[in-house]
Amino acid sequence: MALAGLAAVWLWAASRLWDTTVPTGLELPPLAADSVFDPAAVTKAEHYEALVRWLFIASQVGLLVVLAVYVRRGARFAKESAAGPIGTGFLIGMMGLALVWLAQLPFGIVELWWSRRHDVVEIGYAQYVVEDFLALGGEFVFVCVALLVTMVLARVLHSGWWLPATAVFVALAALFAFVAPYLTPGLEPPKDRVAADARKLARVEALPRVPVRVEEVREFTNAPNAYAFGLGDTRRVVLWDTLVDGGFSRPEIRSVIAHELGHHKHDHIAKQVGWFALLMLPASLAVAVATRRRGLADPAAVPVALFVVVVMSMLTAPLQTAASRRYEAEADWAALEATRDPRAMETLHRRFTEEGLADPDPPGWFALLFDTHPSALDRVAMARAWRERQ
Amino acid sequence: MTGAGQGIRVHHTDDAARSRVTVFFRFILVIPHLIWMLIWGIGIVVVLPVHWVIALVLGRSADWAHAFYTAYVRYVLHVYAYWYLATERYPGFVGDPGYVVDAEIPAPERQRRWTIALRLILAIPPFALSAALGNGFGWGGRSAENADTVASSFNLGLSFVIAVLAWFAALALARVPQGLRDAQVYCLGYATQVFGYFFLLTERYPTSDPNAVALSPMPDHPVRLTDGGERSRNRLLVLFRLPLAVPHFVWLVLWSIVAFVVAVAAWVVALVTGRVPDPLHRFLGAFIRYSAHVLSFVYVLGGPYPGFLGRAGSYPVDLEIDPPQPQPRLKTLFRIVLAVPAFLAGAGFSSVMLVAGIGAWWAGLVVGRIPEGLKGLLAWAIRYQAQVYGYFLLLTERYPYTGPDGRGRPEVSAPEAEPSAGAAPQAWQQAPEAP
Repeated sequence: MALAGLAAVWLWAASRLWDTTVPTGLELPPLAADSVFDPAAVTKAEHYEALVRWLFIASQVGLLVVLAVYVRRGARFAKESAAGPIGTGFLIGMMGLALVWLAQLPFGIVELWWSRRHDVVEIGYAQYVVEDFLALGGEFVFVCVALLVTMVLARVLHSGWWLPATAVFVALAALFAFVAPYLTPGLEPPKDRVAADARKLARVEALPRVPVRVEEVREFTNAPNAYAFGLGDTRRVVLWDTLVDGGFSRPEIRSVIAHELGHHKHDHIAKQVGWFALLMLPASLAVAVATRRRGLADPAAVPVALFVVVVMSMLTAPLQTAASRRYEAEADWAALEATRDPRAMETLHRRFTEEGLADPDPPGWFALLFDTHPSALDRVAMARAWRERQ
Repeated sequence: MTGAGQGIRVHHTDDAARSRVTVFFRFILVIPHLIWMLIWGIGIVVVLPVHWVIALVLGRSADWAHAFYTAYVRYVLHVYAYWYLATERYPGFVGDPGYVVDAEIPAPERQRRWTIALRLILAIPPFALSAALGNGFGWGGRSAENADTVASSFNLGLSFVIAVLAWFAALALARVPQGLRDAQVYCLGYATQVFGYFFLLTERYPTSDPNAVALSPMPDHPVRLTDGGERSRNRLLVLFRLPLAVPHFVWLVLWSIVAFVVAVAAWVVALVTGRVPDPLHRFLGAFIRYSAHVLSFVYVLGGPYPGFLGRAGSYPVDLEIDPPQPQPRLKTLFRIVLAVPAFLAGAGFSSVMLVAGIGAWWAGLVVGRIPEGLKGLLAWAIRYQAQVYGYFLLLTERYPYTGPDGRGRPEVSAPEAEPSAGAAPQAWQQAPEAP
């Protein structure tokens, strides 16, 4: 009964989060990629992304295989631990991720080779491996925090740990979303012209002052990008220097800023925390069910928990990506309303396709499962749909 | 005293007494030797290719070359021992045996030709360790964005730091403390082994094991390190050692903030009552023990993953910390100032730990076990760091002991067996940390 009530609340919350302000029934005009984008660029992007896509699939399969084997053998690492049960759980959890990293490394190196070959990234192989290796440290801290919460609650509450654990994780996610801008060093204010455009657009989108910052990434990549993060007073918009100093026109940069401000206007960061809460709930329950025999307080149950979390994440990926695509579309719509410049959005996505080698029209099955953004073709179609409604 | 082991062995007959006058002018007094050492060194470099080719052909070094390089290696040891205050007597100029700190160098012997051919490459790791044990190492580079921006780093060498500290100590006391002298003999002895190996005087690889040098035993100290660990290592755990330690680093930072506050409280209480209260002593002791566990894990001295609470007996590399004792208030009042020399030596030990840890990491990864020498050296360095923090955080009024343990290598009655699943559990395995 309680679970049924919980499910009803879940569905109601999901429907609320699903809603966006993109006009209902908006028909996107059917477009052919070759008619919108330079056919040569489309061919090049398709060629580039085809391998990237299959490498991604292969790495996901590798992830599942490694974790499935780890379920059987991971508990052996307990004998390498002088820590108590929780510390041993940390070790087993971290070693699971370490082995996943090791198994996925070859795919990453092939993708790097491919990206370097297409001038998408510039970092060297040694730098890639070392930085990726050291980044494991940060991931390990997250795993340890997650295991600390779950294992402590499992010791106290036994099988009932999953609900309070979900609450703790959501609180931590919200906290992290709030403090993330403070944890990102090296963000610089933009030049006056960009700053002035950002202020004007924030006014148009009825937002209080949301600082716009520039991040230096040119050392690592040529791909242009931008993102929005932070909650409440910490909200920020970040533009990569590859966008700001990358030969993009002022209207194009305005379009990007307006899109990112659109995320803040519609509280997408908070809504993502909401989705995290909704998806954590069944994932925690699944972990609790899968580990009920040993109980998650036993470090030997950690490999099973890891495996279940990854499987649940894969199963819910279509829902996550669909929600993300809806929010991106809403941010696009907000940008069009703010800039009233559909042409800038069109040219912007043409350039993204050409310079970032993003396939403008990826296979439907892949977009459904893994794409977090609408395709470039859909975004151009939205710009044209907006123009037709004026 | 005579060193144990084979290959090049260093020994000393120093009584630690020093003349303040010769100590004060030590650098000036040594200048003639430095000039002569430089001139002789030019000859050493010029002859080296010939020496190497002959050794490669004969499979051993020629007698004349062996005598030439032996005298030089011994002479350099004498000069540095005098310069760095490990001895009092002014050394001769020809490297004759019989000096206060001296090296026993084996007679010419057959050597495998491939080790002669690759000697330069094989000598790189011990040279790196010798640099950390000697005068330190540094590097620099220009920023990629701005060619005018030069970034550089320099690590203090242990031997150099000890020499500076010994200079002040000898001026004040008219003797060199035993710990400083023994540490210096060890550092110079290791450098002698390395140069002897490089100059083809022996095929035996230099050992960094402090127990291989017979030195005065460490006096009783309230903070002691016990190393009951095996040498075998799980390769995967070695490979991911650094990222695995990151959660411990985070926890250590958080704990150190609290430890700082507790240490201030302990300082105030100790100033008033002349003693650190038991609960504060226990808390700070657990913090230092935990730091030692984490350091041991990071530098591959310890095999298993450590716990987060710093409980006694929970890790194979552990600290024994005596209960609190009364402490003189004056020493407590000036503890920060008094700890400065120990921290300087600690910086030297940090460089040593870094190089030895990298070596242990490679060895653990490649052969699945760490060398006995690096194990002993790392244990010494970590014990010293623990004693420094034990002194700084008022666990004891006893100053950190700089020298190696000096109790010598324990007798081995049977060949070392590989650990097996059925082996009897060690103490730390019987008392795992909880929770």
